[in-house]
Amino acid sequence: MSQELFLNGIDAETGGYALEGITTDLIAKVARGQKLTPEDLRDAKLRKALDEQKREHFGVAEGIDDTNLAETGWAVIFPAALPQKSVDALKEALKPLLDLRREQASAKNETFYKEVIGPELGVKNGESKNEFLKRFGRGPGPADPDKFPYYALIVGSPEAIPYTFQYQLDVQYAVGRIYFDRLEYYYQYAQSVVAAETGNIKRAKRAAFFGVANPDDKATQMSAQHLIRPLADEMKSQYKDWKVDVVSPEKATKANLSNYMGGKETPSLLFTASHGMNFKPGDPRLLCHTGAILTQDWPGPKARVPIKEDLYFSADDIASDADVFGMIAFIFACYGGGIPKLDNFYRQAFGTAKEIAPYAFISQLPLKLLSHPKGGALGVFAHVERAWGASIQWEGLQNDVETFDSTIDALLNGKPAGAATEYFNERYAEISTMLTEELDNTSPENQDDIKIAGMWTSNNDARNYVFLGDPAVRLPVDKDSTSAAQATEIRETITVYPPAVKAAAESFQPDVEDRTVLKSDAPAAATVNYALGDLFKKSEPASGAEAVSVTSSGLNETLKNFVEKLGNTLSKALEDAGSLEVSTYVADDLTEVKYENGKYSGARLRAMTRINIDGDTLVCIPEKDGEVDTAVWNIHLEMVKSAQENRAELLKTIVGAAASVANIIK
Amino acid sequence: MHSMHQEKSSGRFKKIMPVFESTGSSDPLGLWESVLPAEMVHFGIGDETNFLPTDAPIFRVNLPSSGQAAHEVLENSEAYFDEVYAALDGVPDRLGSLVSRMQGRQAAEDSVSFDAVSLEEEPGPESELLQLLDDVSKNEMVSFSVGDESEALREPISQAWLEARVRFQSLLEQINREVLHFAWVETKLDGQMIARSQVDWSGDASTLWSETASEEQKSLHHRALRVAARSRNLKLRLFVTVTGGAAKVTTLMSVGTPVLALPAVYQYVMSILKQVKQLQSIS
Repeated sequence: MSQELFLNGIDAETGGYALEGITTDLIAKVARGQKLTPEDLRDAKLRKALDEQKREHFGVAEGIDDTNLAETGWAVIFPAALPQKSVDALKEALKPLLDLRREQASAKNETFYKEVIGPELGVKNGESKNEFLKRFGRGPGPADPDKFPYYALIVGSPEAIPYTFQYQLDVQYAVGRIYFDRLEYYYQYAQSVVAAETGNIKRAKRAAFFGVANPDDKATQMSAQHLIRPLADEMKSQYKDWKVDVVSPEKATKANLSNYMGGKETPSLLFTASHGMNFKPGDPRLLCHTGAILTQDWPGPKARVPIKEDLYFSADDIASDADVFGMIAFIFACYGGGIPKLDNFYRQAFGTAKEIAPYAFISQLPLKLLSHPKGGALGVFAHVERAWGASIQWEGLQNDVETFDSTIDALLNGKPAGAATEYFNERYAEISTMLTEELDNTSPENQDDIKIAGMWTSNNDARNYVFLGDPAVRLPVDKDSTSAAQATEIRETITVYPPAVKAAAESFQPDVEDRTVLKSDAPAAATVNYALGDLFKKSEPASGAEAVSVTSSGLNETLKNFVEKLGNTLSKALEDAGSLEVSTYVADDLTEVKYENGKYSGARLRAMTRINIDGDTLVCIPEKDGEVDTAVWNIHLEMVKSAQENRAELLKTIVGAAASVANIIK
Repeated sequence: MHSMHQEKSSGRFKKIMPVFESTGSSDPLGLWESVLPAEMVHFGIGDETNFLPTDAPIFRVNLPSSGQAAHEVLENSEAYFDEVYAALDGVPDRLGSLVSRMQGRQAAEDSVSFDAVSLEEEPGPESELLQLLDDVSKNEMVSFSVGDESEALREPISQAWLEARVRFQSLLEQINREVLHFAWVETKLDGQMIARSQVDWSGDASTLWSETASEEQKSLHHRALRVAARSRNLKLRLFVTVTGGAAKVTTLMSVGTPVLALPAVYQYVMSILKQVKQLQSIS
């Protein structure tokens, strides 16, 4: 029997789940086709064995204190192909941070500080984690800072240094990543970390758990009840000196989240659990709002409303004067940390690659938090790609949140973030080996799809958490926070750039490849062109709305434009086919009514019907004196019927037109 | 098909109004009378220039105040559309028969051109079509192909073909403008607006009713909407019929592609529809 699974991503256009219809049997199929490589399995098994031997210090060799950089070492890693000019600029911008880490990591042994930079040392294109470590004389096993430091900060985009490299390196090392498209942001982040690490900024011991539970949505109802609640309760009982805010679902609105993300209630440790936003390729919001937090304002999947910005909290909602200085955030949401270019699940499930983004990127919300000009957050622990509800449950067990709980414990006890999040790596290693053994030791016909799907999703979940920021940061908390006056003074220094940074900022190319063109060329709306226009390959593409002059252009040109528009309309038809909406308004004086933003203003909406393709129907029935207003209702029903007939007829005719054109110009 | 009635404005009749008016260009189906947007504003109510998006076509049905008379007007238009549909449905068979006849004659006479005798034997629309196709064949544009930019450099096939091409291009533009974009449909009774609908091409509709509209008035707007929708669909059907016909008659051309036959077939279909209109006027 197949079971439906819950995941935390919502498609903005449809208001439905980012990938609906995922069932356990489908995931089991994926799991069977996606067994670990021998190398990765060896790493996972080794990691599991080590974890069983000792639990105090996860990733480092015996006898090394993972909270002391002088023992663990610290490295910064650049892509090998990054232009020298960019390398020089980045080193200038990150100088405050690099200087601090050099001082800390090389206190006992200067080789414990490493700058893995340049064509020779940097991560090469397509290089695996094992190939990379081999260059430093290191194979699988715990981190040995004599060879390569335990803490490693990747400075580069997930295109230049892929997420998969980060995941695999993270199995034994404490890995974080930063990547900003502006040089000034690197400096702002470096300054923020240094201010916190040197004790100049302290936040009060305050945590907040922000749990969304949207109507009719099992995923967020589960995370609110079985993740947020037990974590908050545990913290309240164990850490009496901490003030713990639990934001209940009804208060988990966008407006209230701004209080916790830079507003007056901002804690030092923020944990959010919600859906994350997902956009179709071509949607202009894809690059800027992917992973944004869908708040309680969303009426749930049954409403099937396209999701606009008022329902989610994105980087754009972080105020310019927000106070997130020194905060560490944990964002449990699909795409909260970022998105790969290709959908791995889709490839495994359906055998073909599906592009879900123009390139892999880090979500803007964590980046905005980290690089805030008034002092940035120190780190964000978030999920790349989909987050699965199965990570909160294990084989039906509720509240299986020990991994999350232990990570929070570690952070509160002063562990650097990279080490604190090792519990997820432990979980990943353990489930990976279990899943592989399960698949190897049983034949497919005897395998339990539900069990395998659960293991696969839990495994993916654990693997795809990434730390964004320097993995050596810790929560900068104290009984009393830094005085307002002192904090203000330090905040002002965040954007006082050194001349070298200022000079290099304007022409800064952040990545190996310049993607600024791609960003500015993002189309205004999601369109899937049926490419009927390709039938006329010698001509330029149609401009869109303008009709071609009958006198200035030939028949071919007119026909070509017509066909292109027909193709676009068919594409739109596919997108619009999900629902049909009919509204009925009344007004005393029609001359006073305006039509704005798709609605009549100055008129009363008396009836509305929305019919979804899956049969779900939303109906708003008009009332008059407590009874159904049959006069309005009857005519509304007539309009609905006509709309359905009209759509069917027009669509049929358009398809016929497209076919007939194809026939004569083939 | 155009019919007129007087519109009451400021308490007195001031201008003869078309029943079916639209901001689109000349309606090939002959139902909607094309009016300039500015003119519609003049006869409209309130600040419609501000209310309606200028790029969306407006279909306005001006009906007489008498419910019975109004329904009669709409019934007539629906009946006319039924006949148009039937005529369009008959085009493929009619063209198929023509092609068979011509091929039979061609085989018998071993002639590659349509001589005067054979053209005269065909009814009006068919004769006109054969003449235009012959114009194409005689032009010997053997290298002409779809997307060939050299088209503009060549001599026109014939003046008649050129005129037909302009009319066909006009149809394509109308479809682009009126069928593939959303439209406004308004119903007025004796000059008073009773309802206005915004209709998306995909079927989504949003209708604004006057609070005081009666059941009968609502029914009239509903019918008017249906007329507008059928009208939009019919233009696409017209296009499909023409392209299908062009593919059929290409065999009658010694040179050229179906694209070159499009204006000729369009002209042919319009001639048939003209006959339908004339028949409807008589009845």
